[in-house]
Amino acid sequence: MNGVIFTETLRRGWRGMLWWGIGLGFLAWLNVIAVPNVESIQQIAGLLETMPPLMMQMFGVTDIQFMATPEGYLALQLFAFFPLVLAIYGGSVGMNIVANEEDRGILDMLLSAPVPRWRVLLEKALAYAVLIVGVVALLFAWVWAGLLMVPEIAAQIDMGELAVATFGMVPQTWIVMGAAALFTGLLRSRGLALGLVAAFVVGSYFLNTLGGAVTDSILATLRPLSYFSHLDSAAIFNGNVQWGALLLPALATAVGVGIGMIGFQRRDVGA
Amino acid sequence: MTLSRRTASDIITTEKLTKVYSGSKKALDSLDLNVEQGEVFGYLGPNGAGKTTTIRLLLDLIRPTSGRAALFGLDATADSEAVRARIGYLPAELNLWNHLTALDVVRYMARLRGLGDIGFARQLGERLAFDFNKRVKSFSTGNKRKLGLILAFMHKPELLILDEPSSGLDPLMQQTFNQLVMEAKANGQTVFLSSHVLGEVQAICDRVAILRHGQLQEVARVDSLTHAHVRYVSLRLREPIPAELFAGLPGASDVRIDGSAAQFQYRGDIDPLLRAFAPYYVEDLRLHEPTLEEIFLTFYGDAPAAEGRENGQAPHNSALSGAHKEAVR
Repeated sequence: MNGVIFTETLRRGWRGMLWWGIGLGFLAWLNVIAVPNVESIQQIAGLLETMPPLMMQMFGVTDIQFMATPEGYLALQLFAFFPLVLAIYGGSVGMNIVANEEDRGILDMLLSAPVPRWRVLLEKALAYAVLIVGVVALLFAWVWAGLLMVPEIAAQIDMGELAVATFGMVPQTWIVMGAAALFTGLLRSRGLALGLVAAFVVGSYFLNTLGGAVTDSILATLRPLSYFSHLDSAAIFNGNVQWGALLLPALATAVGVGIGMIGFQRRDVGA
Repeated sequence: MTLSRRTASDIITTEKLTKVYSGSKKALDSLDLNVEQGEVFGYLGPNGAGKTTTIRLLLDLIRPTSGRAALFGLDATADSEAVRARIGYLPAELNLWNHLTALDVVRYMARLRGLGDIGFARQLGERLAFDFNKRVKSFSTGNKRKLGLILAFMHKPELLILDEPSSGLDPLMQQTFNQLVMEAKANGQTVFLSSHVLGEVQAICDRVAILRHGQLQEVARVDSLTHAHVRYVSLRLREPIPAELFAGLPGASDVRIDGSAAQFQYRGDIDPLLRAFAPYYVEDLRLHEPTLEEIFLTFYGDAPAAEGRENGQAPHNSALSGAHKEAVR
């Protein structure tokens, strides 16, 4: 029956989504209300300025003058840190698509029903994609709630740009889920797939960080390969939204899920 | 798909079905098997014989290295979805979503099968004294087994594939399970079950296949296996038994003489046996037909600690091999 796995996955996953959204949102809310005025932001920017360039890059600081603005502060506190945390959520739900049930032997029972394997993977991936949107939406709600408590900061934030930057983390999280769908669709070994997903996230993170810091190296050339590089919150807050770059991870997710579906359809299942 | 070995009444047909796992020996080696509609077919073999591999191939969970399998005349791989719609499956080790209740699991699997009404599942639950409201993680092995049986039977499939169905069931539930299988058979459903419990197989199966090291050893009707004109004979005379006595008794084999007592296997009519001992005073003479378990063990005489050796029959059966196998054939 079409959609049964999708709805069942949503039914089972909404509580997890809620907890992740509440947890991450609370952290974001704390970050927002911690600086009630522009002066405190400038103090933080001054502190950051004393850091070595590579360290600043690792903290997501590219332009110290921009960092001294409310938008720059949000770009630093939210969009340098939360994509990495959301990658954990994306990876964990990605492993739920195939690997966890296969590893526990549950998939045998599921696949004894008249459901093609590719649809199992597709419906679950779609459901988790929706749940990822839910987590980010909750995160956005908390940030908004925080800004309502710091009107001086809120007055200088364009909520539309904030929404674009926040929801820009959705494709960033999807791609991690897509990587998990790809590797677990192709491989029976849960451990190997998990290792590859972790390598993908960590590798992307360091490629983005080092490529941004060392501008005259091969790493800078390769930096666009890092999915982290596609969310440029500073550019978004400056009114320069690059939709193509922002949505490229979504396209890569679709490709990853598609290849995962083909691989899963063709390989042996279970131990 | 057309398999040359398939007949119109076959529900399962395999042709040279082979599975080699990467880096290991053949888990299944050129299996040729036919299971007919409406029969209860027992699939016997110790651990590692290839029973579960066969079942997983039939369900398209794994793909054959070579050879083919067809169910209902449909290819097990190419037409897998259509095949699985007509199958009820119970795995040897049932793993389900621990945080769900049994009712959640039944409803989910029912929806996947397009089954709107779970009334029959509830009936099965009543017969198996099963509580649908408990979470899977709280279930004992026996209760998990009951849930697995409910999931396999609830949509009244044309073919039931049951891997070690009664392990973990208490004797009462074992009896209920036997009844369920008999009812399924009466409804025209086909049952393919693997088992180590040979008493169960003997009680409910029409035919059995015996598998060893991935190779089919034997396929026979249960009644032909157990009534194959081989009998165990225990004899006690008043005086020591002369060994040459058996020289004139061609149906006797595997003779063991201990003073005035003897044990041997015997094929053929009884009259020559009685005449051979007529000159002696016979204190005791006992004949019995081998059980399926004893027959099963003849195929595993040199298998180390095969799980079929559960009832302490091994010493007796080790003497059984040749004659009985020949008799079965």
